[in-house]
Order: sequence, then structure tokens, then C-alpha cells
Amino acid sequence: MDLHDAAPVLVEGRIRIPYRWPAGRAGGRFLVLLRDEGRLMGLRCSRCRRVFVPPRTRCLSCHVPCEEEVGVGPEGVVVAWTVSRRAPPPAVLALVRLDGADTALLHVLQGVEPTAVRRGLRVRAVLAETRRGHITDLDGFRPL
Amino acid sequence: MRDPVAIVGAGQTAHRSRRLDVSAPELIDEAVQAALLDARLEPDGIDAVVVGNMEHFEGIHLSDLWAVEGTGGAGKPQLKVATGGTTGSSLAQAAYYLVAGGFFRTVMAVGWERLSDSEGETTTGIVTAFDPIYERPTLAGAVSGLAILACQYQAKYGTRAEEAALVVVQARENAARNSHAHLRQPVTVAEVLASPVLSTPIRYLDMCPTSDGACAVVFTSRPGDGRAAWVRGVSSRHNHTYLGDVTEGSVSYLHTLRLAAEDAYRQAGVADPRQELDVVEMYEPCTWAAFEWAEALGLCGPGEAARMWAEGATRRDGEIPVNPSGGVLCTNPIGATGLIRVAEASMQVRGTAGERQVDGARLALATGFGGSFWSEVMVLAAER
Amino acid sequence: MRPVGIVGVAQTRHAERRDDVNYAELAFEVVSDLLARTGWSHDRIDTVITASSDFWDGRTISDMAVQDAAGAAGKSASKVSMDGTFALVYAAARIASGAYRTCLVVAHGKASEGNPRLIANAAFDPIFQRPMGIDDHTALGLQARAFLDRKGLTPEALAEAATQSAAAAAMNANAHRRQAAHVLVADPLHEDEIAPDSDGACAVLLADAETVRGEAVWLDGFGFATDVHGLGDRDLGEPGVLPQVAREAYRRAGVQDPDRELDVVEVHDASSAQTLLWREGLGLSESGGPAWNPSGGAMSAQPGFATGLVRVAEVFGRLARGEGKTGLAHGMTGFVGQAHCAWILRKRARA
Repeated sequence: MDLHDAAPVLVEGRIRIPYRWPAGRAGGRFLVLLRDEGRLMGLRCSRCRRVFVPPRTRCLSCHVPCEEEVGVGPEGVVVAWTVSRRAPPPAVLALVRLDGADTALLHVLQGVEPTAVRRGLRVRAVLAETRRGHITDLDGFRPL
Repeated sequence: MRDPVAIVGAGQTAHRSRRLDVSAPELIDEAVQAALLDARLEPDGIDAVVVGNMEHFEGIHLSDLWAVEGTGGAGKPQLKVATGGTTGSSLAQAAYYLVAGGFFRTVMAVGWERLSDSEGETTTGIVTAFDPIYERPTLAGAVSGLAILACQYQAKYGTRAEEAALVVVQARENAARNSHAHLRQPVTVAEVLASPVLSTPIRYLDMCPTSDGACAVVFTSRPGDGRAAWVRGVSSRHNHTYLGDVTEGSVSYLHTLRLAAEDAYRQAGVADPRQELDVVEMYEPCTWAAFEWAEALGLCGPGEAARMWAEGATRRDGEIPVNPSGGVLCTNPIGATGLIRVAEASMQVRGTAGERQVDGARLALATGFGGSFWSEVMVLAAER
Repeated sequence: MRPVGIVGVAQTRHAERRDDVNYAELAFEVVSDLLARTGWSHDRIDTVITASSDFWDGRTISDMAVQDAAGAAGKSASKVSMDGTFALVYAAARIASGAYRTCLVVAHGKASEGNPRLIANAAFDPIFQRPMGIDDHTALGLQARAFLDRKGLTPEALAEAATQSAAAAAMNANAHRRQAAHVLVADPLHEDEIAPDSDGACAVLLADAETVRGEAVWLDGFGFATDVHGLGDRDLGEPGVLPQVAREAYRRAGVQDPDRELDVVEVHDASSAQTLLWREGLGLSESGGPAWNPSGGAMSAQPGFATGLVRVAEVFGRLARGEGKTGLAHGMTGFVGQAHCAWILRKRARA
């Protein structure tokens, strides 16, 4: 048998490693507030005054600490969106800039036809009935 | 000729089993802020960043892109160098070459790992390092290769387990003076011998831990008047991939370390390492490896390492102090570990090692180990 | 920058699946090709820098196997886990430092061995973004939408860019032959407006000025930078850090008028929106100027971290054949261009 004529031999495998990621100080605070009080927050840079959502402990450009907690949302505006068509039903993913925030949150849009989505669409966060300290405690955003 | 390069600052986190209080970017930020403070630099004094991390341990692909919030690299040139156990030392080398090549004036090397993110499954992460067709189904992780080396060493020289255990006993004594170290509790030879066997002859307490931690080191070609640790020798040697090709029959020392060290010594003008080096921060993944590495580094003759430890020559106040920081046996956040060796060696030469300072240290060696038994070496000196 | 020249390049014929080889053999194939083309042997190569992804290879420190294939055993070697253009920076630095005279750079990507969408999802922040099921295609969709909205363009602009890329790819012997349909994958992007997942590898041999003699192609300048990570932290419809990266490359290489001075440009465009967006980011006019992605760009093949290095190989090839004197090769890491790298290549007698 010639090495070059042989049909390929494929060996299957899978990497199964469970993970547990700390949300950190800023992310933890965001998720706890969402879970326990059903509200959203960001952190403001002390120098440039930008409000980061999700919150960050240090400003991305000024490199100084962000310590001031700011309430944001629950309404906001769609800045970019797409429709995932891989498997039905199509799902609308969007970047939503909550009122009071300077950066946008990635989430899903519910109750809206893909053709009706546009930049600038005003939406409102929907809280999940049971919340556990996870970003899916937000059950997406719906148009106003 | 290349621009001379110096280390002017180093910072590290408190390394622990689990740093659940911080996200990875926040963990990295701790080390970065400490390094900036030590180097007396503002963030915009860093021209480029080199980062390292092993993606499978935290399950984050392109982890450098995610961690940019903590590294201070947003908007800056940032490279990721990730080479397994040698990641930290590879980072130091990459930062060095970027400065030595005249590409940037000041480069920060940042390494981190959060092994607790896959706690209990780290061995699974490491097992994925082995080829999936021939080796992965049968090998047990990082210990297996080291155990084979240790068996060969033991067979050649008749070294007893009690002698190897002394390495970790001394490491813990040293770590007691290092507030950053992960494992600082003293341990006795009896305790080591009573710990479970992982893979003959390596026992649980002979082996390094897994830690969460980060380290940052600043390299520059313009150190100003602050204390600097000049890079006088840089070298690495790689190896084949399969364990059978690497061990090639009887191997009782690490030949890649010997070759890399000889190259680095030549660059640094070191003729007699045992006499000339003031301190060694070596990357010893297990106690037995320390003997093999010491001999490969030319600190003693073949089969003599155990006696060196037994006679106290490797203690902080001994003739050739080894790992005054506590070494890898006490702290091991994989993406940072090799960089911590460089950081600690640089602190010794700059006189900033505090309670673990080796008096009058002016010439230090830092080594890295990982992958398929490849080695990296850096020589640091107080003189340019 | 101390002169660093390119001795030669090689790339595989990229494909949807190379089931006949594992990834190390793929790297070995391209390295063997490079040695054959240049007439060099491993003992002339001082050091090796590889570019590869542990996640794509399904193996921690997957570069161990590639080091073997690239003849790194017994040498000093390292690995950059970013696109090959970034590995080229480290390689050039090693030579520029004077510590090494020659350096081999090898990059590979074997998409067929894993699930690229699942792997891409793992690149997003696990707390806030990953749970949304985002992957590279949907991230590209977000970016394409933001781009069209910013420029006031319709999706037809993307279709036209895709058509041009496909026409160029049809002339590229190394292109990944595929049947891509005009069906929506991640609005507004259709399958034929998104770069394929390919198996392929690329190798570049660098040397210092004493080794590279006579007229040759030189690495004259580079720029690279990493942007913020969160998809919502910046306007995805803007070119991000690419303008800053391009300016740095132009500055280091002494390029003052890219439209006029560049003869050929090759970019890593993971979508047809990026084909247009990266052009803007490089400071080029919308039409005219240099030959643009004559290989078809990433739309012709996207073999992971080898994609940018293939751009370098393509520019080198054209300059070496006399199709111009100055070229730009672009690579990126991160699907929507979080990190960019640009290299200026020039054919000239050594200075």
C-alpha cells in the first residue's frame, strides 16, 4: 500500500473543560444590581467623564480609575444590529446604548421583525422573571 | 550592534489559589500598576506591550484582545507570545528584542494566568498539549514527562527522595519572606515523603502548584538614573515534539538548558557560573528538576546537585542562592511564571527584593522551562 | 530600522479541507516548498518564529509540533499567537537586534479540524458577550450594518465588492475554491460576502542586509496596534486603529502619498464590508491608486493566522516579478479588526 494513495484516517476527539469565570469587581457589581434590584449601572471615568457599560474599573483611554457609579437605562437606542440566520428562527443581535451610557451593550432584540430594526430604534430592557446574576437576567430588549 | 536594554520596573499580584475577587483584566491591572509605579512611569511612557497567557486554561480564545483593558494596551502596539510553561520567559525575550532591535524604546511584558477558572480540570488543559493521535489518550499531564526525567536521574545517581524533598523545604522557607508567593507555609521532608505519589518518583509536594496571578516587567533602552538591571545575555533552545524523540534514551539533565545557558554565559562574559553568579531564579517545575537544571546550568558537576542543596549552598545566604523568591514550587500562574523569574532576578540586581534580597547581588540568572523540554535563559547585571 | 530583507516566500494551495495532512504536516509542506524555492537548508536558518492558534489546533502549545516541522529543534524559537503579520514584527526585531542573521516565519490555520463558529464565540468576553451566542459571522454582520449606516450605502455596495473579490480570486491559483451562495448569513452579509474558513499555511524567510544581496524586496516599515475589545466600546463602522497603524507604517517607511506611492495593496478582509472599510482606513481614495487585493484578499482564502502572512507573500510575489516597487500587506487579529498590522515592502537595491 502506498502512503500517498491511502484514504485519510480521521481521529475524533473533543476538549471538555468546564470553566468558572469571576465577573470581577465591576462586572460583579453590575450583575448583583441586576439580579437583586432589577436595575442597570455603569462606571464613570473621573477624567473624561465617559460612562462604561458594561462597567470597567479603569478607563480604556485615560487609564485612570472609574469609581463613580451611574444608573443607566432601562431604555436605550440601537446603534448596530444583525440577524443570525444559522438556525431558525432568525435571532436579532444588537448593540444597545442605554440612556446615560457612552458604550453599547450587546444583547438580543425581542418582539421585532428584522425588517423593522434600524439604527436609532428606541428600545427598553426586559427583566427576566427569575434572575441569578447573569447577563441573561435581561431577557433582551423590546422596541418602545 | 544592538541597543543595550535594561529592566527598570517589575510588578506582580498576590498569587493565590483563587483570585475570585477580580476578573482577569482587573488581575492584570494590579501587576501593571505595580510595575508602572516601580518604574516611575505613566501609562503613556510605555510604547508597546507584549502579553502572554495560555488560552485553554481560562477558555478564552484570543485572550490578549480581551485582556487589553487590563494591560493598558488599548490603542497601542500589543503582541501576544504564548509558549506554554516558557510563556513568561518568552515574553521577556520578545520585549527585549523589540527594544534591542530599535523598534520601541520602552516595552512592558505582561503575563497572567487564572488556573482556578478551570479548577480541577487544569490537568485536562495541560493534557491537550499532547498530540491527540499518539500521546493524549495515555499521558497524564505535565507530570509524566518530568517523572520520566526524574526516574532516569535517580537511576543514574541513586538520589533518594529525601534529598529531592529538601528542594521544596528550602523553597517554602524562602517564600515565607515573599508576600507575593502563593505557598508560604513551611514543609518538612517527612511531609513531602508522606504526600501521595503523582507519578513515580514525583510526589504531590514535589510538584509545583497552580496559581492565579499576573506579573509585569518594563524593558527600556533609556533607563534614566533609576536602578536598572541590564540584560547581558538572552538565549533559548527548542526541542523535538514527541516525548520519545525528546528523551532519546537516557537523559539525566536538560540539554536544551545546558546549550541555552552556554550561549547566554558567552554573551554575558560569564566563564564560571558557580563563582560569578550571585543568584539564580530557575524555573523548577518539580524538586527533581532542580537538580537536573542546576547541573545543566553548570552550577555543579553531574550528580552533585543533591549535595549542593544538602550543604546549604543554595540557601539565600549560601554560596549560590537558588530561588530566594520561593520559585515555581511555591508560585505557578503559568502565563506569568517565567516572567516572575525575570522579575525576581531583576529585583535582586536592582536591590529592590526586600526581605528576600541576596546581599550585594550584581549578576543574576533567570530561566524558563516548558513545552517539549525547551529552555530559555536571561542574564541580568547591575552593570551595563 | 536595520534593514530586513525577504529571501523568499511560499504558500499552500488553500482548501476547505486538507484531510491528507495534520497541521504540523501542513506547516512542513510549506516550509519544504520554501526551502526548495530558495535553495536554502535548515542550517542556514538561525531562528524561527511561528504564528498559530491553540484553539484552532485544539492543542495547548500547539506550536510544539510546528517547531518540529520548521526545523526549530536545537534553535532559539518562539511563537506569536496572532496573525502572521504580527509574528513578522517579532521576527524582524530579532534580525534588527543583530542577534540573528536569518529568520523563518511560519503561519498556519486548519479550520477544518474544529468548529470555527464555536471557536470564535470563545473569543468574546465570557461574562457579557459570549452568552449572547455571538460569533465571527454575527460580529461581522454588526460591523457591516454599522458601516453601511455610517456611509449611507445600501447592501448592493457589499455585493459589488464581493463580485470584484471573486473575480480576482478566480485568477489566483492558490485560492480556496468554493461555492458560496448569495443567501443571508448575518444581515446584511450574505455567504458570498464573508471570507471562507480555509486550511492553509504560509512561510516567509527573512535575512539581514549582509545575507540578502543585490536588488531584493525589503521590509521598510510597519505599524500595529490593538483596539478596545467590547463590541459596543467603539463604532464598528469606523476603521478603528487602522488609520493610526497605517500612519505609523507610512512614517517608518517614508511613504507620504499612499495613493501615488503604493503599487499594490493586499488586505485581510473577512467580509465585503471590510474590503471597503480597510481601504478607507489605509487612507486610500475610493478608486484609482494601487492594485487592490489582486489575489482576491481573504475572500480568496482565509487560513486562520496565515491569512495576513499570505498577504505579505502575495505582495512580495508581485514586487519580485516587477509589478511595482512598493506594496502594503495588511493583517489583523480579531474578526472585526480589533488589532491591525501593516507592512510596507519595497523592491530596491539595498541601501
